[in-house]
Amino acid sequence: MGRRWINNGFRESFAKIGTIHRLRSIMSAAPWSNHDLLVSFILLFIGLALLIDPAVGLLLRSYAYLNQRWGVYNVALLFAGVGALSLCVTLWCVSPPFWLRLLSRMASAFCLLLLAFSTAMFSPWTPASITYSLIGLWSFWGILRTNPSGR
Amino acid sequence: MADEPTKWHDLLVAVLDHPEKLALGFVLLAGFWRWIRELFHESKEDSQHETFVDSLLRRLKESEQENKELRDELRKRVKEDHHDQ
Repeated sequence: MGRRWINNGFRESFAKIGTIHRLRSIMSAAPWSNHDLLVSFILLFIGLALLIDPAVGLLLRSYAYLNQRWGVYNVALLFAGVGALSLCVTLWCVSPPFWLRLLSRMASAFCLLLLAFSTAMFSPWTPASITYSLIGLWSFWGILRTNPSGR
Repeated sequence: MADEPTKWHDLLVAVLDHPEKLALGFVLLAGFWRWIRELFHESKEDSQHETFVDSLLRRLKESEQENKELRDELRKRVKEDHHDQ
């Protein structure tokens, strides 16, 4: 009885946390926020992976151009920073201002289009370049459909 | 004239050779477009809001006039009833 009460109480209080509530609503009823969340995680994990092991960025053809141009750490910091910003904006329990949401979407679309264009430079196209291009296109569309009200 | 295709070709090569500039251009263009549209929409909404308020005022005046007429009619009836009695 007591244990059940503790479990239920914990679950209820956990569900009341703004971010958890927001995460639940994203997963159930907000397809564009779902996309934003996915893109944030992709960029954040790419950034962290490059920071943890810079050799990955030197080996992969996708990042060859960017690494040559800006350096592995700068690319990693850019991706991780944009991913973290986008994650915060997406998971914030109340809707951030329009300019911040637009800026966040612009930044994540820039990173993905950068990956798409830099991989598309090489021939033949790999599945990675097609994936980046499609996600970049979706993110670009996401900028155009950013609503002043809502998310 | 003969230099023109070379210029265009050079420009195209320069753009494709710099994916970061291409990506930044696309993103800035989309963001700027969205921002301008939002500003335009806001100013349009403000003007529509004024007309909405105007229509509310008009309806209020109409209903006041209607109320006045009904009150007058009611008074007339009451007077007529007193007169009959």
